[in-house]
Amino acid sequence: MGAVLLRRSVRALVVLLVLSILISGLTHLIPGDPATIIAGEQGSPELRAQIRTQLGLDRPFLTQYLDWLGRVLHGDFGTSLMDSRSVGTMIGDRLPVSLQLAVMATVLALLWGVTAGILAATYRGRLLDVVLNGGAFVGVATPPFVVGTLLVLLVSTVAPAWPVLSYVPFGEDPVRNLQAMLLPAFVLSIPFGAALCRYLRSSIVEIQSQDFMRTAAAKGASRWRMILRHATRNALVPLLTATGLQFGVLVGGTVIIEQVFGLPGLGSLIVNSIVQHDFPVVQAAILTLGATYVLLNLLVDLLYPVVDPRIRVTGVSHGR
Amino acid sequence: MVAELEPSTRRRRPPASLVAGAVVIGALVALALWVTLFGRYGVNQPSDAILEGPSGAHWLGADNLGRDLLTRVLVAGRTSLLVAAGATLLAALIGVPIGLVAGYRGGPADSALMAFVDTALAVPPVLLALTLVAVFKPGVGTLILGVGLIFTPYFARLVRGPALSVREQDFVAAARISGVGGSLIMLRHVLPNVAAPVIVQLANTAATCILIEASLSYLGLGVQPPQPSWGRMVSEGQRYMQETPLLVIVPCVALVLASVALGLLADGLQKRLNPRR
Repeated sequence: MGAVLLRRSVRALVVLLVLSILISGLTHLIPGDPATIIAGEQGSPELRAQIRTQLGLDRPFLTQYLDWLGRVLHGDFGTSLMDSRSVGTMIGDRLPVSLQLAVMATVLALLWGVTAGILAATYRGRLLDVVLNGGAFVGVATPPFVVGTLLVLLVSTVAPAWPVLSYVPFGEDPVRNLQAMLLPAFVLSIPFGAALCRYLRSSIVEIQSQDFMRTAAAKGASRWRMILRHATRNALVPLLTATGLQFGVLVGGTVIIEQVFGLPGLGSLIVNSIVQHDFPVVQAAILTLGATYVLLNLLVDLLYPVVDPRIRVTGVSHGR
Repeated sequence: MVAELEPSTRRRRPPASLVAGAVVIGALVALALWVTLFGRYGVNQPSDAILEGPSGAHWLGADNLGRDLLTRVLVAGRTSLLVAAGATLLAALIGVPIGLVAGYRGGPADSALMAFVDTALAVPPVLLALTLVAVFKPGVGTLILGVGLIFTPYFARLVRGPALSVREQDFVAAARISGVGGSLIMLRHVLPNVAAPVIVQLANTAATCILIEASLSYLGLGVQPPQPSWGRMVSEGQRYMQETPLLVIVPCVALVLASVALGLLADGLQKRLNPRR
């Protein structure tokens, strides 16, 4: 198990390193003269020269990258091209909003996705299964911004008092904050939970045909005991894998949902900075999101032995 | 292979999901063509019917510039499907050869290619897409190229495994002994054996591409105006949705319809080509 973890950690580091090379190379990839594009057609030559120095475009890529990486490792992300604010502070202000959104969405997705998956597997082939499975199919195929927009429209018509587009920090007013975050988190949980429901249903169905399930039935275990204790427990490992895979969808979804609901998170920072060609901010924000994603996946790897004690002993899982 | 053992599978009726998906996609393409060739209005043709509801002149109403909503949503479908198809084909055209070579040749080439593929797979697609649009001018070309490159590793990964196992089969050894060259073996013997999963993956990728394109266009980083796209129509319609809800509902419904249809297509193809799973 220790060796596996070490390998995963090294891999996570490699992924982050490649991502950082790609991101810091961004400014070098801009077709034409980046300084002109960033400063705009009317930008003065002094401004262009300043941007060139600030982005390190006057130096070779490798030198610039190593310099940037060194500063990033010391927590210095540089300053914004727009208003010279510290990029680190901007990220620090916005990361908690995105994290709260992602955590709330994950909790919601696990709550209803797992319930729906178990119910669909239990009532396989019956009406409930058809409805849940069909709903999950559409849920996976619907982008969050569509549900989000339609939900904003619905809520503002049906319940105008609900704070849809008015974000308040948690420290200021916890109740209003949770109220404002509930809808976006729910919308974000739809493709996530739908995917979990489909994974869980198919792995429980697969487990149900195994020998130990027949044994459990023969010794008189009740139907729910069989489903919950024997089938679902063995389906936890594939469920964990599915959750890890869905974090990618979640990270992408936060970027979009923040825009729909006007939340001041990392995602809206990325979008605004791309529009304004504020590259230091884009680089740092994308790298932060990427690092969060890699860390979340590492966390999933750490959870495997907790969920399936067999992994702790042998390092391999029998539940696939 | 299965078809030869059971001749009946060839004549079996195609799964309902395959038919439903194909019909919806076919209808969207046909309608887009029809509205381009014979439509009463141009895509960006303004009129006095500003923010008006459905009428005889404008079946689904008109937007804030009085442009016909029906015309716009159908033409937008053309753009979305074009981006999805283009990006998917690009991903397959680059990814499949990479996977074939990696799987068939094995050795250091395989390790190097797969290390690259695994790293690319470990980054969320939307994050990669945002990175690319941050650099290149947003538009249809950038979308096809960017989204296509993002999904290339998925095809390489998919083809590599089967290519690896086909390589060990007797008929490949026989071909090699009779002096057939490596590329010809890959083309004639390995490729047909990995075709089924690749076709399913084509539909799956197209379904994801259409969502990514719509999301980026919604953020203003995808298809650029005046070219209509579903994502862009939703973000533009949001400002007026309290008075004219159809402005957002129509493109939303069209997008979900196309995305679900592509999903059904993938599901049906999977059942049809790979009935055992």
